[in-house]
Amino acid sequence: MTNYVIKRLLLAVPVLFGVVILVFFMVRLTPGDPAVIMAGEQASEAEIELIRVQLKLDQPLHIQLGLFLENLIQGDLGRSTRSRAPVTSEIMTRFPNTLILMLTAMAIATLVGVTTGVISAVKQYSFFDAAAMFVALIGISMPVFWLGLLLMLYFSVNLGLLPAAGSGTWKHLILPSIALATVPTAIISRMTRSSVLEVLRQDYIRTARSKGLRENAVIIQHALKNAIIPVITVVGLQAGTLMGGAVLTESVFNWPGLGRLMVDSILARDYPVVQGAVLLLAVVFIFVNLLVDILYALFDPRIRYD
Amino acid sequence: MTFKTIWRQLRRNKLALFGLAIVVTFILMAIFAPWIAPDDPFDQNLRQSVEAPSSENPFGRDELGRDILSRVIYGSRISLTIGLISVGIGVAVGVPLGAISGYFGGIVDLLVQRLMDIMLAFPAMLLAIVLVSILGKNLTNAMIAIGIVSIPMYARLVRSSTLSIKENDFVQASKAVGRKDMGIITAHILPNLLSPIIVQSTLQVASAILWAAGLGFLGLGAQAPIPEWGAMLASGRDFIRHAPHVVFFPGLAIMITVFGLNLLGDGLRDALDPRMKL
Amino acid sequence: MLKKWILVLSLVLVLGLLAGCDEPAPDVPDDADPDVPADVRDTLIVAQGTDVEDLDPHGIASTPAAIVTEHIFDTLVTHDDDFNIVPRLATDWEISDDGLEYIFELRDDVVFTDGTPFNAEVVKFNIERLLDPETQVLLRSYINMADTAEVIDEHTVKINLKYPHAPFLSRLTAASNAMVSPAAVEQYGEDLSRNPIGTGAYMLSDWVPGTELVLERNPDYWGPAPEISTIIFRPVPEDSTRLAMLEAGDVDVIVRVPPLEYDRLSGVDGLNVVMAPSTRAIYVGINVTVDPLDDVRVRQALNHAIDKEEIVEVILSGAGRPLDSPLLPEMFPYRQVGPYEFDPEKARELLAEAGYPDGFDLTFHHPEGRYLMDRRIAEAIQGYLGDVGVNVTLETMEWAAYLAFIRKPIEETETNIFLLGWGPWIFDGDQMLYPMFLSEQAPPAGSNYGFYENPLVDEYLIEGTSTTDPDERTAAYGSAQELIWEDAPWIFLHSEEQIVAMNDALGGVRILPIEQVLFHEAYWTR
Repeated sequence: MTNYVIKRLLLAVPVLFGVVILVFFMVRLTPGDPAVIMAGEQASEAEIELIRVQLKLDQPLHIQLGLFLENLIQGDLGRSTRSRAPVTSEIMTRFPNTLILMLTAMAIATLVGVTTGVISAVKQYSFFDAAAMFVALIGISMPVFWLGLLLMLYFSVNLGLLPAAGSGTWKHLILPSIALATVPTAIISRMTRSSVLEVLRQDYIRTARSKGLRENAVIIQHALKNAIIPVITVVGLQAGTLMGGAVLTESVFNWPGLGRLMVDSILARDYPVVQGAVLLLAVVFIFVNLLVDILYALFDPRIRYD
Repeated sequence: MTFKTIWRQLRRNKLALFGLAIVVTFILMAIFAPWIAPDDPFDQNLRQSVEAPSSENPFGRDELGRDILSRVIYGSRISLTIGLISVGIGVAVGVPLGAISGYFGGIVDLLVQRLMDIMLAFPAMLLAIVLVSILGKNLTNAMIAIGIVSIPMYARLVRSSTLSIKENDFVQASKAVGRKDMGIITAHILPNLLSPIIVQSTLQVASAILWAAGLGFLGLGAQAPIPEWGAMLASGRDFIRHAPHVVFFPGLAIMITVFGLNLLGDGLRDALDPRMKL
Repeated sequence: MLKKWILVLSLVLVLGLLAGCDEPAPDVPDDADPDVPADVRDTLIVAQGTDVEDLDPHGIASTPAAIVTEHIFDTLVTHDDDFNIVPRLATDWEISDDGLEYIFELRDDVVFTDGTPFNAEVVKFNIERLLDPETQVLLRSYINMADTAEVIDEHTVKINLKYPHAPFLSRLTAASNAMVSPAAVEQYGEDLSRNPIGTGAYMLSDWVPGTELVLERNPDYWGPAPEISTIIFRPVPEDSTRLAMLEAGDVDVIVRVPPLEYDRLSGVDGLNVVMAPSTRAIYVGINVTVDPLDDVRVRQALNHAIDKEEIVEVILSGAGRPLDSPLLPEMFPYRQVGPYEFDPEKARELLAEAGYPDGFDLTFHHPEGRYLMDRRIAEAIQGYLGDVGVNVTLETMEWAAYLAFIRKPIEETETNIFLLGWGPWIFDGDQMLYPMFLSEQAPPAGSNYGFYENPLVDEYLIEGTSTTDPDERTAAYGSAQELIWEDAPWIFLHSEEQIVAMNDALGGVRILPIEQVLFHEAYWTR
């Protein structure tokens, strides 16, 4: 197991390097010039040229890349061109917010998704099953931002129950995490249902039942344990999708997270922030994937990574 | 697997048929838009800005006084195009990559998989945003961006299916009699990949429509005055409380279409690929 | 069974939704009453459209940043509500006859919040910092006519100019020319942007970028002490979110209210919605070097073809004023020279006269989300021009790419017509006319993006900027405005109105036409 983890981590290095290089060139391929955007419509070329020199944007690309890599190795991601603050501090003030939002959404999705999935499977073809699967289908058919707007209008503006947007208290977290959780909840509940149904058909479940075990015990001890692997995969896969959803959800609910920072930075051609944030996300992504694979092994004794 | 058998399977699944009906309606709407639409979707009437639905304009008018019903009908053309083109790109690039990667293995596999890892390390939405920024904001580029973003999904799917098909006796037999690799891929591997690709693509069309709407929401979608549903929805959000119908109908159109595609996709999966049953 | 259930539910949903089409979704009732606590508050929460990037005033170029720095820092001089230049840190000034030397008397009772006394040395330091090419100054055009600064005595300073520049005093009112503490620059270097030390009515107490920025009252402020002790600025980019927050009582003031919401919001209990003029002019730039836009009759025809009144009334819900001069009434020295009447018939005649009875094709580039209703305005213009036979293709561009696109020099430019706005930070017409219409300000040098060139206009503009006599300036700029209007290098559209909505218990909020909202004199009535 340890060897496997080390091997995976080593494999991650070239991927991260590829991500860094790719993002470095991608942001510079985008038409537009950070200096021009910073200076705005009122600026003259002379003013812009000075800013370019200050940002070292007048240097050839390979020199810029060299500088970037050299600083990166020393753990320095540079300074944001827009705010002039260190990229690390820019990212780290936002990342925890995104993490909280994503973890809450994931917790909701897993809890609700697995519960409804299991109930639906056990009570297959019941009204609950139909209603749950129907809602799940609707859930994955709705644009996230549209749902977010509707939730906000109804719960905060109309009913005045929750803050419309912003962050700070647990109340602020409710609506965005619900909006963000919708799609993964739907996917997880569908996945759980089908994989529990699959397991319930297996021989050992029949054996367990015939031995007179209580139905609940059968489901929890046998069915759920075996059905959990595909569910873990889906949960792991959703982490990436969730980040995409976070971009939109954060915009709607004004959540000061990494997604919004990245979109703003891409639009303002704030190269250092985009580079730093993508790098961080890639690290997180690779880490989550590794975690999923390790969880597989824990839940399924048949899987060995030696 | 022929179309006849697919159809026979599908016909037994009422829900999938319902999805199919929605999708067919959607396609017919797209094809016959000029005949169905009661009004010119570009015809402005500033004095009738955001007029509420009436018998004359069942869906009301938008901020420039255009008939929303007509725009929604024409919008189906745009969404259909977005879905087909972006899926086409994903399939055209992702399938060969995945097949080659899975079939040959070794260094090719390693390189392709790392490349896909790199692409997957970007959240799809952000990758799409960056790509649209590079290519320039318009509908074509949004479609290309969404297509590119979906490449790794196809590559992964096709690779794993190829790996298992490769071990089949008939493939091994072909190899033994000295058939060329490319011949084996086209004759044996690809036909067997059809089912998962069809299922994935149906669902991917749905995702593409949602992604395009998301890009539209962030101001990176279709050019004005193209009646793209996502862009219509996004521009209507400025006065969602003042004139909710402007956002309501495009949103509804997206939801129903995506819903239909998802139902159909589920049905096709049941029919074509019982192992992946949901 | 399951599938049957889902089928039934789906049908119910679809039919229900379709049935719902006949009647629009019911309007949301306006019962959201911001909760007002019984005791009088002294905290104020403001939602702006974008985050503040930077609090080093010398490095700012955005209005949201200027709004905050104007509370932390002071400039030497400022404007009163009638746009006259009045004392701030400088009490009095004298200008030499050749317009090259400005001597300022300074206040002697001002201390920075880090304890540094404000004096002539400080002014000299600031001017030199602003002129230093190493400093990241974004709005250099507001200061680069200055040459050197000399200390005359503790509270008297002289600024020498490189060349006579009549609007220099006016430029010193710009938020980017505020006075920062030299000791803080020494201490923080580049991080001054996070640790702003000024002489203003407020000081920074906390700043979490993207979340909130908190200002506390400066206890040692030299001016009248403000009533509000704490101002919290929150960045809320989504218009609809900003509105919802105000209506839910989460914030007290919001800026940049979408005009379409003006009527509805005005009817909401407990809110005060203000529509105030702004000096941001919106226009369609015309590349006067390409065929057929090089013909003045064609350009005039385009101006006659568009109903600017209707655009303002319908798309902007009244939040605008159609332009009747290249300058705005708030600016010195505005002269009304227009408007171009909406007259499609005349437009067609002019086009026919110019040899285009059947119109022609044009590409119209425009940004989205930058100016009020920009995309809709572009779509409307496409409609109007279509009516007189000019077939317009719209190209929406993302802002960053758009700026790079329109800034290309004449050899590379691909523009036909393009939508832009211009919001100077001062009220002197020079900042409007000189960079936009002087021939040598064509890209890449400046902002004359349409390559307009009229030697007579050049002459008047140079005279206007170098002569200090107000009457001569008025005459020169008056002629320039007439010539420019006649040449029609723009499709003159409108100037925006800014809509600010706030809790109606709040008084004393100052809304400047340069889109700054200031709270120095704000107070709660309950």
